[in-house]
Amino acid sequence: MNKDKFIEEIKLTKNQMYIVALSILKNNEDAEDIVQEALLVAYEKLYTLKDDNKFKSWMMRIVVNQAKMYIRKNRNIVYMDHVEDLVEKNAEEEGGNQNIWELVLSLKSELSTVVILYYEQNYSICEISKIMHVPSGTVKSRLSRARALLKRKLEE
Amino acid sequence: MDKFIDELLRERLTGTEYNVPESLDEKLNDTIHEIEKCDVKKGSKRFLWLSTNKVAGFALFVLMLSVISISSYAAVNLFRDRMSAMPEKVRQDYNNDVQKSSLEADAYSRKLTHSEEERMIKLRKQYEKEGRFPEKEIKQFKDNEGMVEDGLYFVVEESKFYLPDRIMSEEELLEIIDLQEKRDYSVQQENATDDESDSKIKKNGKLEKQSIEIISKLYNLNEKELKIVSTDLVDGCYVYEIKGDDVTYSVYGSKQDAVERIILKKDNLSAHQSGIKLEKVKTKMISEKLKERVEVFSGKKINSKSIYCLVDNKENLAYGTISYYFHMSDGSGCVAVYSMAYHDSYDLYTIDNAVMVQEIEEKIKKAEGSGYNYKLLE
Repeated sequence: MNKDKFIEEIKLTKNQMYIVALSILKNNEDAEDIVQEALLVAYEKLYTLKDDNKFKSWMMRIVVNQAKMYIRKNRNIVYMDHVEDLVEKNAEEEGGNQNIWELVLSLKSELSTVVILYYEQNYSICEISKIMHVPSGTVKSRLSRARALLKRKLEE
Repeated sequence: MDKFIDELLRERLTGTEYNVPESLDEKLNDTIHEIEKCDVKKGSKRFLWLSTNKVAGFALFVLMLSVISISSYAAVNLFRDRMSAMPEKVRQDYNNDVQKSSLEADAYSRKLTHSEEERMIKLRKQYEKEGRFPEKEIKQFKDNEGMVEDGLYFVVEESKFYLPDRIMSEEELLEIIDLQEKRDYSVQQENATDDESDSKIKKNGKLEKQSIEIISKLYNLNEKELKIVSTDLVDGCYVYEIKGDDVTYSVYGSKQDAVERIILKKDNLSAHQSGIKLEKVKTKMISEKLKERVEVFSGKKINSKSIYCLVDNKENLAYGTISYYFHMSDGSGCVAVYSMAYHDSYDLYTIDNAVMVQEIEEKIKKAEGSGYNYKLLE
């Protein structure tokens, strides 16, 4: 993939990268920093991408990896309070309605990331398994638990 | 029902765009602009160090020689050389250790002092940008067995840095930074490719055995008929899905490797059911059935209980479920949610007593605002 194509792809996927990073880190600034870092890492490693069609999932894999490394290094795990502020702000901007993002981002990282990758970004179970470095069975059970929790929350 | 939720989630998530902050565009535009300017050679070893506002000293690689000075390039190159000099096997081992770890974060055996924290930040910058490295490498042990009494070392299995009781020297802080950077670099190198490998979650045999045993005991099943079909890690805690005939039991382990929650799911049958009249529910009979189970599950005696259910204005159960809150002899709590559709408790969990009381209060408050009543039955 050449530089122009890379930049074009980044512009198309930046919002998706951000939301995946946010689902893991639960903090706006950290998510932005991680997307920025992932972009640079991806650019440096671009020569390892063998199939341009896999760019998006390859990129997401880097985002997930960078976010995990950030958590490991900073040890502060996640900031659930920040998420509540964020989603509240988002809901206000959406006209005051509690939106689906509030529910999804309020789930634990492991669950909210699979929900976003599966439902919003249309990745297959197999692709998510590669992006998140977990077996397919684990992705399925995370989706199943996330569904049950979201169902309960939607009914409340 | 799953299909309905599937469609609902897909529709609502794809139909409602998340408002991404404008600051993201600002940050990315700057980075993209820098990339646009630079001349790249595929696979080149040259790279640039950039730092973001918040993550001071975090490793950012990009090929942009034009924007850095020769001296900083040389220093950064030292860092890069040190990382790339790691043999492939060592890199793979570091990556495997990190991926296998059940913990999201490395830990320290004690809190760093203020001066250690400050020096750590300063030294990390020097390590990354000026090529200041430790003279030796940190001692590493696979597990606790090799532990020495006082001193600095890293236990791989626990992802934990054991620190000496005294204030650490700069050499020791650099040894910690060195290992962290090498591990991060290895993870980055091993995973930023499009290979097909899958990693596995580390097995916890003790908790697996315990989970099977408790399901067998509580639901009167033969252990041999129960099979773990999936294992997951959430926040460092294990979650097992155990299959037995037409029922799947999701078993949640605590950080102390104790079973703390069991959720049942019957094939092709939802635990929730609407239209059941409250007057038809035999709460006392159910209560007797659950008492024994709760005592076996929690390993404690019951002191008292309260029973609640969510009803509409016609006294119909909202979801066909009744919640039994048990106050245990040691001051803890245990909740059993009974499903009328399953004729069984479909959610059973131990909980801190104060949290349990809070949970009840919240449900009462929520119900008031939605036209339902979270009714106290006993």
